[in-house]
Amino acid sequence: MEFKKIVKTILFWEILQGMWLTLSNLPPWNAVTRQYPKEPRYSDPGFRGLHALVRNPDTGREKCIACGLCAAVCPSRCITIHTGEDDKGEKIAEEYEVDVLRCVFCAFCVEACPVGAIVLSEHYEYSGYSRGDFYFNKERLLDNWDTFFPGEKGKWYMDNIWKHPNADDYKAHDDQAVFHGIQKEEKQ
Amino acid sequence: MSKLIDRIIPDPVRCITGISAYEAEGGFRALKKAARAGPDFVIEEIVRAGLRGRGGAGFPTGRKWAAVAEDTATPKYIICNADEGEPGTFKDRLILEKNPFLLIEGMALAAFTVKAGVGYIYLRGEYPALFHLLEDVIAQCRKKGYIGPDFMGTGADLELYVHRGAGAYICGEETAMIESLEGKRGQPRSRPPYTVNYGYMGKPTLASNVETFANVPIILNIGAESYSKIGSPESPGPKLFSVSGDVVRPGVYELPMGVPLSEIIYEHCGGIKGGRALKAVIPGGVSTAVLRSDDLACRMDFTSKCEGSMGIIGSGAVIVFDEETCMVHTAYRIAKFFAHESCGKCTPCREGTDWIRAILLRMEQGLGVEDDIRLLREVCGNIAGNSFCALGDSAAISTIGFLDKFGDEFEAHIKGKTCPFGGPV
Amino acid sequence: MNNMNNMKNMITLTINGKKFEVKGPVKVLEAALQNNIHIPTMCYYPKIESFGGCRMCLVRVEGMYRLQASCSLNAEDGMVVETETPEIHVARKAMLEFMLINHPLDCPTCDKAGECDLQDFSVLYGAAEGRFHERKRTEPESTKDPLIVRNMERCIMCTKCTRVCAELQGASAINVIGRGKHTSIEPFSGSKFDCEYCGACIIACPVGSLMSKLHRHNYRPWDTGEQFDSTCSYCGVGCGIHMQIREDGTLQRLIPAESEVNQGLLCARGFFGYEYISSPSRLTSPLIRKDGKLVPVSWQEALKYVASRLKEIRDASGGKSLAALASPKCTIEDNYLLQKLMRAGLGSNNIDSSARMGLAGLRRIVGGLLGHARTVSYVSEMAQSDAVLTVCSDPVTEAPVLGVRVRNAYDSGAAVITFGHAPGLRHHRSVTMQPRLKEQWHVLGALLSAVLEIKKPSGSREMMQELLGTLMLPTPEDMDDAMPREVVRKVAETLATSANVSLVAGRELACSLAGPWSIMVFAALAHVLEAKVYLISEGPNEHGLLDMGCEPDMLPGPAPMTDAGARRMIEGLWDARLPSEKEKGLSLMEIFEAAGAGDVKGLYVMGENPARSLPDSGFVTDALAKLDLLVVQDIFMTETAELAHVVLPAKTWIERKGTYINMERRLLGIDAGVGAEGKEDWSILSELCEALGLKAGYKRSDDVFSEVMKVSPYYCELHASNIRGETCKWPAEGGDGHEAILDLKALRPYLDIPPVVEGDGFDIVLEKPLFLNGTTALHSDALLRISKEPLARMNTALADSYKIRPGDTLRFFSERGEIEIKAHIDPYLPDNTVYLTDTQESAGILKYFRYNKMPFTNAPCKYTQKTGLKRGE
Repeated sequence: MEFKKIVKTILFWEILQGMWLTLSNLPPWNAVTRQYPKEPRYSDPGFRGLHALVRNPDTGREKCIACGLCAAVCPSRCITIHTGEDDKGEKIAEEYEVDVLRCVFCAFCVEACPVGAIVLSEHYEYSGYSRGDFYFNKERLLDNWDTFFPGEKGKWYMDNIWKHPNADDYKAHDDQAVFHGIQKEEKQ
Repeated sequence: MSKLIDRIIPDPVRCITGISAYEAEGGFRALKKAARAGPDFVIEEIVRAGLRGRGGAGFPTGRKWAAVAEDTATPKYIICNADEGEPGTFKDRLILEKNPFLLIEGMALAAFTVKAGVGYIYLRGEYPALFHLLEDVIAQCRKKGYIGPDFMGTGADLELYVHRGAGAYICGEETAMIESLEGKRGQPRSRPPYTVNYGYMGKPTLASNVETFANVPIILNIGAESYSKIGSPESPGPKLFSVSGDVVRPGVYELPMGVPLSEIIYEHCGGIKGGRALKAVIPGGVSTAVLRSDDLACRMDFTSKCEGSMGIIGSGAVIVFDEETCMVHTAYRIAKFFAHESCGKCTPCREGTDWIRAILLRMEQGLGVEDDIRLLREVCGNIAGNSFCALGDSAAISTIGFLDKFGDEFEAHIKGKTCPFGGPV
Repeated sequence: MNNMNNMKNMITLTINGKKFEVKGPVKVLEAALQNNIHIPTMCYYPKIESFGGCRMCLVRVEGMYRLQASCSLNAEDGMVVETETPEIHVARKAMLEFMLINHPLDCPTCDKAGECDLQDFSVLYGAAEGRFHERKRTEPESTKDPLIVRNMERCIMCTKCTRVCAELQGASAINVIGRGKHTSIEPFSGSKFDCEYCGACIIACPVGSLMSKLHRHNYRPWDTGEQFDSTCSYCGVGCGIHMQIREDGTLQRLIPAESEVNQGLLCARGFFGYEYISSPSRLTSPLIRKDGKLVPVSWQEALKYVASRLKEIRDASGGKSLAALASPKCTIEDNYLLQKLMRAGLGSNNIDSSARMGLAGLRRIVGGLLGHARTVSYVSEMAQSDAVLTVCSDPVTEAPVLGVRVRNAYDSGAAVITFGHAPGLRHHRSVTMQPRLKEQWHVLGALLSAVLEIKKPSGSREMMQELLGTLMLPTPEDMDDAMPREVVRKVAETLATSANVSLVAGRELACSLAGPWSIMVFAALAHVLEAKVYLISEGPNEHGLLDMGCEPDMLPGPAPMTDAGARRMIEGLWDARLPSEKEKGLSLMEIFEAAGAGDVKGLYVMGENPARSLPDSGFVTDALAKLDLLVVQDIFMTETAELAHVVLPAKTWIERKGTYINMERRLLGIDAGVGAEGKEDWSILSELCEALGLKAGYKRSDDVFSEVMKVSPYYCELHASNIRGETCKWPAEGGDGHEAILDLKALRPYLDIPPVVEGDGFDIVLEKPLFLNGTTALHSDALLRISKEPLARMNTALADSYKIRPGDTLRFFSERGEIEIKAHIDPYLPDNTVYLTDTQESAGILKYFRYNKMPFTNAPCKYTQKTGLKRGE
């Protein structure tokens, strides 16, 4: 008995016993840690990540009509819009800037937008070395759309994830007024 | 002269356009009588006779004349409403064609009674020939001293002018007519203050229909007692009914008030053309609700009850539809009239009348949906009672009337997506 | 006009179960609003007649069959009204539905979103979804007008714009056309408004149907940061303006404020003319002329240079070789410090301003004769006058809101008599008297003598009574050739028998060629008729400037420079000596005459452009060029600044705090809304004072005002805090004001009727354009867009005599030169008169006029001797 006791003391047996769970997970083949960035994590559809301004496929410009509702509804006041007119007299956003560091990714702006011009992509890997990297202006946001929602993917998202009040089968609840877009009809 | 004018149109064929002919018929005797008896006598007679306005509203004429006479502001004006815009009404035209001097005599009596100096005849723009006729008639009267300064030695003046309208139904409404006379947009004014105290140019104004003025000399000629015995007790006197539509003999009929509708259509007008069946009648101009063939016992005056509504006489314009008429089309056509004539002042009429028209057009074209009838009723309900003047109410009443009486036809159009009568699609 | 219920009485009515007592006659809606019960309306506007068309204000009145429109229903004793029943809510929802069926849902791009009545009511009372499945009415938005955008799809036909234009502004430029669904609002000129651009329709419009292009598509009401009330600086009325500043500190927009002065009205200048504030041509840095060119320098260098040069000239040639021009566009604080600098720092009394051309002389004589309190009246009270006489002044272009009030008076039944040329009132006057210029003042004198035949003067002003006894006047018979005596007598009768008479006069009276006599006639008229006097001042602060002693013979107070008590007090306060009272300073034109002769070597110009705005400007420019030192403190590079040796950039009224006194003698404040380059005028002058060794060092403009309160017996009762509430009118606590500073003995030589000025050929009348008024207007793009080119207007007879056809270009020449100007023929103008557009600072028409200094006031009275017109090639 004495020998066993001495061996246990020398080899810290109780400690090893207590740490069995920990030590059993120590070898790499038992580890459950995701080896990021070698094993990247992909977001589920609908994950709210980096912002993107939707590009209108017909005109190539942003869909944004510069109503300012996204800026108004944002709880952290991270959207700055300077509106103006284009040469046809239509209202456009001359400057549109999102301060991503302030954003809480609530997606109120996406809900508020009457034309579905802003979306949140699934991308979340956008670190930078200075604050300036996180002020996304209009051009960068449009680039985000091209990068993260090319072609059919964008369409799928607009139809399924951020189904827009414009859609025919959109069901509004009782208190919600529905904006069906700006009617630009020809004179009868 | 032993002849007396005791009816509005003495001769259905002859047009009395010369003053001597009118005098030969007994004209201007009432004016002479009034000149002797005084203005109070005239008002008393009209009140005792129980004359009610013939433009459609049926306001007691004696009360109106008395109110203007009592007001002390000067100058006062009398205006004859010859706008006759109500579709289906053409009785005033007949008075002006066949017996215009009667109107002048009536207006002269009014000027004498209320002490007005100037009178206007607001003549519908669509009667160009009558404009020249009236000017000629007025000139003849003036020449003989029946109107003008101190006419017939009464101490009263009357200068009469004819003012032409420009094609607006709303200018048949009293206050809109006055606005139009003042040179402004023909839009109604809010009342009070009423026109008898604050009318043309802010002065006391007596505005009445042609037929109303035409009745006054008759009252003085035959006496209030006998006048009140013609027609119904609450609505006495003769009335001109303009009958049009699918009858054998359309035209203007001078009949006592309170005559049953069936009598007008079957006895006087000879029944439905081509021997077909009667489907619907609009009894008093498009502002009244349509009636079915089983409502024909209704008496035409201001107070008789008919199918829940009172006084279906309106302006006395009877429009008859036979069994081959599509009621949806009729309703649409009337709605189009109201939408076209809405003056645009108040929100419900300006927007609502055109909405009704658009829904009815869709229904007629077979594009109606289930909910449209309920929607129509709601829209009409929102217009009636909320509009500025009676035009909105009329549009609503007319459409609701069609929906109530002929709802099945509307449903057939919706379900069948076509007009059962082969109407325009 | 409802003449039914004119007796005022108390009415008790019950609204929503509570009893209220209101003063009649009143509409039910107004009775409710007075008691804080809100009934939604679209077409109700408190200042105009009720319309009753929107049907939003429907209420249930017991005993009345239908729902009643409360805006048109007269409240009666014992009425029982319900405003919030379920039936009413259904009706409101229905009315909103009707308004929305043809209304485009442009909310995201409509500028009105956030302040739109239709939006607000829809949230409160409306449905969330529409059930209109038909085609909406469409009409393209009209952007053809240079300043106003008109979108008829959004219009809900409340007609507030039309009624405001006709009843309030009196311009009747727009009206309703069409009927039913196709009604729309259109200007009479077609797509362009071509009107007075007062902006009242834009303010009245409850939806986004009429909007200003100045801030089109570039603001949202919820982006507004701070908001201030301030005072417009274009003219002497001093309308209240509300400033909205964005969160980033830039100006969002300016809209009228509901101040007691203007009650929400503005003119084109105030409403649209503020773009100059952000003009790229603003001066941003001090400039010094080196080697003949103006180069930017630092403030330190510039101020040091100015102070040293001023000291040099003072020490070499004495204070009398230095002069200054104060500015009615600058505040009390600025002008006070300028004259302090001149008097205490440089020992000079040579300080004057452009008020010399207008208010200075008028105030001196009229104020001296009648007492200062009688030289001013409230602008808003003009509308209650029974008779108005405008003397050679067109209030509509000179003090536009006052002109609108004259029109309101006319519409309420007042007799408006325009003496002289007043085109803005041509549809709002009962009589016009336009005698030939050479005789016009004599006709005014004849009018006075006709009035005296009817009404005897009363009142306790001995000086006035004495004057009237000895003033020589022509009779209407004497002037019968110039103006038929019946007309004169009829006008006199109208004026003498009206209870509440208002007289309006402006610069033309101050610069009249008949001298002080004509001003005395005017004062006498005011006295006899017991009339309210309105002296139009062209700058926002002319009274203030004059009160601060910016005149060659006055000290701040105002007190005459000979007043020993005032001198003692001021010298004690300033701790400095005042220049001798024996040396009266030079007045406005004398300064330039002295400069031309080399006696004045240095001139400090603050906020003025004498090279353009004075008559005989060629002479003035030459005089300026001869100066050894010309310092110009301004906001733009004006013609005067181009000749300067030092240019100092200042701040506009929107960028600084200060005090104005308007033509009502009301103290009005201006506030700093946005930042700018440049320094405030008083701040520059304070540093210069310090550099010259004076007690200065003011940190804020309130500090300057505190000193002003000590100096002036009139302001001593006021605190700066009173000013913000606009409750001050001076004399503050009533009273007649300072006794007359007027020396009647000095005026006595002018009691004789002056001779009629001879001249052959045609008369020249300068017409002031409404939109262009000074440098700031010329840098406002909006005003330039609506301005018309300068014209020479004449009637057919005169045009034929010179063989001029419509559209011809003329050469107008005088002994000072010639100018090309376009001709315009109007058959309704009087004979033998040419009306030239007086755009002082662009076509520079005053260059072609010489001047005579009026005796006693030294006002420059312009005249020409050899004038002519020639058809251009």
